[in-house]
Amino acid sequence: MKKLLFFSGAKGGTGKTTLALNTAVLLAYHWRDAAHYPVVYLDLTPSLGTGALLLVGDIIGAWGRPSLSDFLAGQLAEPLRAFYLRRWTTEKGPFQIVFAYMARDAPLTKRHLSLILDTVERRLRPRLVIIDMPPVAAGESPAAGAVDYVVPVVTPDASAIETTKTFTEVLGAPRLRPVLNMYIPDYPVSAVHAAPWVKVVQDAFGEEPHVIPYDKLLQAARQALEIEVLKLKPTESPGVKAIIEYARYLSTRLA
Amino acid sequence: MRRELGLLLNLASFVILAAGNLWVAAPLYAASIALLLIPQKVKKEEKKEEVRKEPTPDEIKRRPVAAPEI
Repeated sequence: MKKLLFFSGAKGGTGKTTLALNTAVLLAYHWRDAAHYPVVYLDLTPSLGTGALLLVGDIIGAWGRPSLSDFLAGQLAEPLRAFYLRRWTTEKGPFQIVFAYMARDAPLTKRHLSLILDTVERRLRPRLVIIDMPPVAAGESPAAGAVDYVVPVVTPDASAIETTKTFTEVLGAPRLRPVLNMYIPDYPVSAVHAAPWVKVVQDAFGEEPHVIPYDKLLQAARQALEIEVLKLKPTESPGVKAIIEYARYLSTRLA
Repeated sequence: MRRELGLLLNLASFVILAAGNLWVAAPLYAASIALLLIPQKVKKEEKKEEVRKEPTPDEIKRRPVAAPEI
């Protein structure tokens, strides 16, 4: 079981949830015959993260069910009781993803995260656990030392790139190809650095980033509370096309 | 149509000339040449630009789930 964390340092709104959830769904479909539960998606955002909300399908549906918050608060002995299965039927057959979320705010420690990940590995035996964590200050992340790989997700924003770079060093896990999200080709150059954004990100992380262009259709799908790769075609959405390319890279890198 | 009419006038002008009526044949000949040699103004058909309609959130909601192939 590989553990992969999408993060953006202390910055929110970089699109890491969109990337984490969509790649989780793409890889769950891609590996559907390789394991019963190929991908587990952990949304560790307090008070119901967007990723979990999209998987549950509606806000009301998440209320009243056991969640990881109950486990963290000591009200649930077995963390697996807070895990759910989302299944889709497509024209090419069904596939599923296992997910868990935090319905309310509760302190997540390294020990808790380690217990949750151990349980997942022992009981579900997935190929991959994708962790989507909210922005936290460097040094405070319970994910430090607990994951196998990290994916920095940044936007064309000088401060976002700087804080995410610092955070990458703190996490200590091997870094996969960074992602430059919401890139607008009409504004390719950073006025602060007097250099192209791609070069700025490359200089910060030591590798050329995977570029995901800004795409209005991703926003439209989000308004519809739908997972983008399940409803938009890569031919109509450059954002979805770029996400699929990144999932393809991950499937090779994590195989 | 324009070409056919030009050829017809041209032929007619020679027939009339052969009949000995130069004053009628000459303008007919000139008219046929005009029809045959002056290029026709081609009306450029305005290509209707296909307006790419982006789906609205509501339309996306109603779409069926597609297999997310990598």
